[in-house]
Amino acid sequence: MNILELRNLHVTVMNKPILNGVDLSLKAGELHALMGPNGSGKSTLANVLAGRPECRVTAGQMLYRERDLWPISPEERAREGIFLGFQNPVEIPGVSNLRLLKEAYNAQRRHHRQPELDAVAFRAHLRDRTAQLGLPEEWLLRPVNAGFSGGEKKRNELLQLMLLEPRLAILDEIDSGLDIDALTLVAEGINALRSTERSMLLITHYPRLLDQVPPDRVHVLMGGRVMLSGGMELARKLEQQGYGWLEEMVT
Amino acid sequence: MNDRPVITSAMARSYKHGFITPIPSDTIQPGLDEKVIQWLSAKKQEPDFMLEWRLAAYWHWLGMTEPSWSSVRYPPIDYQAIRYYSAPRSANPNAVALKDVDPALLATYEKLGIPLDERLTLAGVAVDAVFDSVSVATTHQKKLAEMGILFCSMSEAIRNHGALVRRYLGSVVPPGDNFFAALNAAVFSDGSFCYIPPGVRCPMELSTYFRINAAGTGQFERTLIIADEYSQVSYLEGCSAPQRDRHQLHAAVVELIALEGAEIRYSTVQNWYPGDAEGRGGIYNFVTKRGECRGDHSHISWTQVETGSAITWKYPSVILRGAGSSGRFHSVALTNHHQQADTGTKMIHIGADTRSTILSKGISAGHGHNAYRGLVKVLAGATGARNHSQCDSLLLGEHGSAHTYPYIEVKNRTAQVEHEATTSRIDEDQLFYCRQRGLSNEEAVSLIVNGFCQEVLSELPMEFSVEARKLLAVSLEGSVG
Amino acid sequence: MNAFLEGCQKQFSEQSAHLPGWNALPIRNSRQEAMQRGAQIGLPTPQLETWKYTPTRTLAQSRPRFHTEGCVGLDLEDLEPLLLDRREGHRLVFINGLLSRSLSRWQDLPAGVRVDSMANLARQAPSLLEPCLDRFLTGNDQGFAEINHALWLDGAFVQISPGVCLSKPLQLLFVTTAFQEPIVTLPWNLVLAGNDTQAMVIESYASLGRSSHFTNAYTTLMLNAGARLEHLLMLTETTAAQHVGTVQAIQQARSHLDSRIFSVGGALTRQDVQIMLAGEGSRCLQEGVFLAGGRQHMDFHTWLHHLRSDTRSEQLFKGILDGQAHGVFNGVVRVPQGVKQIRASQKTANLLLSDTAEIDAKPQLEIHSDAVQCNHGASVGTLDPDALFYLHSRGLDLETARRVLVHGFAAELLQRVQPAAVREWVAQRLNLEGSAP
Repeated sequence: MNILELRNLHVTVMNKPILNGVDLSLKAGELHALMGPNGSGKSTLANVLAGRPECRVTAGQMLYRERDLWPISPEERAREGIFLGFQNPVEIPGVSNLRLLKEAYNAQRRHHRQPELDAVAFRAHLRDRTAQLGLPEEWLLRPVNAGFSGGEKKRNELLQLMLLEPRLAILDEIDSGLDIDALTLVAEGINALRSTERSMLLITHYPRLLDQVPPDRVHVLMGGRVMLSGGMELARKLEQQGYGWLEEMVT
Repeated sequence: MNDRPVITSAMARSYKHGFITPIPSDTIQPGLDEKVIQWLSAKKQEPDFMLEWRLAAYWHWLGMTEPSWSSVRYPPIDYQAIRYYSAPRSANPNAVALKDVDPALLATYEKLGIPLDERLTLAGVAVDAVFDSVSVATTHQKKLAEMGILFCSMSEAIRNHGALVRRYLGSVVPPGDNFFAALNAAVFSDGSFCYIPPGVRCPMELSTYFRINAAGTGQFERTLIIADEYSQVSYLEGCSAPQRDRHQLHAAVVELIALEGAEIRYSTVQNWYPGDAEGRGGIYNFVTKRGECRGDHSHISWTQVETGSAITWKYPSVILRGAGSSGRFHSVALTNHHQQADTGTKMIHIGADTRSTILSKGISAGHGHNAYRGLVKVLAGATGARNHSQCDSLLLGEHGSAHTYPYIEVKNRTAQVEHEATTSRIDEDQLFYCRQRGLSNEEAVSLIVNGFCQEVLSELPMEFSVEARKLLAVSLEGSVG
Repeated sequence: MNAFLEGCQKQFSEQSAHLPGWNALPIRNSRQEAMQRGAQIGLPTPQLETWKYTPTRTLAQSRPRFHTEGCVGLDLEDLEPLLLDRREGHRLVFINGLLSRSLSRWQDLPAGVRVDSMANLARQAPSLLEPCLDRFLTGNDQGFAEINHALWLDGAFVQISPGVCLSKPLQLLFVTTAFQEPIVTLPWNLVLAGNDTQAMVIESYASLGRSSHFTNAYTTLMLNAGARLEHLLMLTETTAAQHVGTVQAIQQARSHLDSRIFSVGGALTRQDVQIMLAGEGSRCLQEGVFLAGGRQHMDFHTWLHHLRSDTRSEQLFKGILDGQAHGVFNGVVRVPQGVKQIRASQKTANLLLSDTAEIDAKPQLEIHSDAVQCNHGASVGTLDPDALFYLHSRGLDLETARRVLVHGFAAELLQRVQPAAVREWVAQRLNLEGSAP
């Protein structure tokens, strides 16, 4: 079964067309990489899947587990297992990481008619995961993303991903702004989360993440369309030659 | 944590404390004149000086006009239509033991989440329960008395501790201070009194719970707290009223006196009935609260979470007279539907090296109107005075309003005064982030608003902080589409 | 009723036929209505929230003396330091409230720019003034403005036709000379900036001699769509003078206004600024710096009304107070319901240099819309002792060190004045030479 299927997807942001007919499908357990130059629409694709209100679908379809996503609210998509790792996670002053994680986790459990975890049980549940990402425990009491470095924000996104265990994870430049050690940690985290139950879409500029997290397929998004798909060799070619040769193909 | 907090909350999804206790009561006819005051004073078996004091205030009040400078709007109040006294018939002014208190009253407080049975309350909190015009019970008095702490109803204090009352009552808020304070001085019927002797650190939180029950009455209570030299006390105040479609007036006065080295922390979670979604009913909360740091190096802090009342009009203030004394004001005011709040503080720096801090968070949802009004005044003698003020306003929806009126008056060049303020709408990116993590729009708003108020909420004692968070969530109901 | 208002009414009833524009019905009506309203509301007193800190009593109790004669024999040399550019500058010079043609200079203004005396215009082309008559501010705190509207005798008229760009600053200079008894001047200035025009107007007030006088001024700035106007207000009258003034600006779509105030003058100076951002995309910058010493009272009240969506304002006001001076800054940013995309920033910083000076600062936000980003900040302090010590250790004496730091505090605002010639002239008039590079 396809976890995600996009058919001729057209999206505008503030009346400006950004995606102009994206076709893409992702099967359960697969990890795909989405590459492309700046402004090609990668983040818009991520955002429209998560239901950001500014992104309007003007034509085509997006199906998540054979269900049309368009009418579904962002929170319901999240509770149904769609997770977006943000490129620039927003700061929320005064709200601790722990609080947000607990609210999010219990919102999902309520949705699936499971009992909520109380504060103590939840804390224990979290402890293992923070350790795994090399995050100190006091981290949990800090306000969401406030005063975090770029790398810390990305690790925080990964922590949420580990906790919420989505079916479809869309990671928007999870590797940007990370040093080598942090990148390795993130890559290990992603690999640990790969399973036959879970599909992932990695949006990235650089193949260096893909070296550590081998994708099943690589897509290139240009001009709001998937121009080319292939395997790891496509990522290599892009690393060596850039996007120029593709632009020629477009014109 | 104990699962019986002092004030368990209005967890459920609307004004949970809006019930009425059907109880026979002594209520006088509406109207106010000298005779009413004489009757009231006699009823309370007050000494002569109190009657004189009340009458002087009454004459003063007659010559005053209602203030019009605030930003709140309401139809004229008919002061002759208010009943100035109502007490449960069963209230026993001489009740010493809880067994002497009417079970119907005990049940009321139980239902509000404030059991008055000492075995059931939180070990660390003593409660004075005020029902309409009278105090019906005060817990833990005996234990406190062992340390020399006086904690009782105002009526009892007037009868039993006349010298202290005479010395301090009206010394911070004089009877003629303002229209509502003068009215209160003339007709106040009860309230809490507290005296902490020198060097004593009060071992438990003291608290007063105010309940308005009878219809057509006003509640006029008066609280007086004296912290003698190098003593410490933390005081909590809670309140609620039945849901009625007529407005009711609550005009209280609170006076705090901190002598040398003393520290008073006063916290309020104000949950008077706010009126319905169309603005019908609710309490007019016109309150004068003022503390004086009379001694050197004394400290007074006010923390308030204001979610209730149709109109809130209060400016808990600190007069910083003692050298090196400090004052703080931390406030969250939330207005939803048609609620109005004009609140803030006055920090009057008189002594040298005095410090004050103001942190105010205003949230306007629905047609709510929220104004911060604060005065920081540095007199010529306040060398080295410092103030820092931060006032933030959050607007939810396009019909609310948020005003910020800071007054800064400085007459000393060594003073440093800084004020910062922001007004903004709730951040769309924050909302989307939370929703992407599975929170509903309403949950996301509530979470973000909680974060916005975090610095103030963390000033509250633990049980109150939990209560306040829940109240904020409940008060925001219906504010997001 | 007080002596001042009585005197104004008397003047009005006796001299009305000589007031400019009396024969044009709309102007006559406007004057009569203003006098009526003025008599009704009276002069403002500290009971009014907006006049809480302004001591108007002495003024209200004085009997006004109106001056209706032309120029006394002054020549340009007498005015030299007051002129921005004596040789080539464009200017309208008013002596004791009335235009002096011989001291003014506007012959080589570019085509499409019309300047005139308001008195002359009211007689010759009253229809040009009519549309502005019902734009005056009203309210129970407008007593002084009403008297100006009833009794104004002259002032500057500036009209810039669409698309015209004024390359040189235009100076409007108001000089009051010494008299036995203090006189009252009541200028009304009107600047009409057409679509897509550009101009800089410098309105400056000064005294010759040290005797007391009272200026009650009103300036109307109309910015049409796309107009860019810089308005500089220089208040440099003698410390015996009293000055009450209002600048009212109405901005249409995409217009830009830079409003700057520099004040050192007056025993009592009370200046209001009312800016209406009445067109989408309009922007305004409002800045000011005042230096008060001795027993001076300086009082600034500004209102920024964001009446339309997508409007922005930015404000910075600084006060420097020495001696027994009393300074007041009261700024209001108002955003009504229903407007969107508003940005407003309001800041005031104040320096107290003596133990007897006083400052009252009151920055206010009145926000009725959630589509806003507004902030304000206020600070009061004295010179940084560390900075003073640093300068001491570099060999500066206390007086010089203080001066350097005070100049530094004012420099932030002076530096933004362009072109350099204007900046230098402003610095000189404020006695702040060398504080801006």
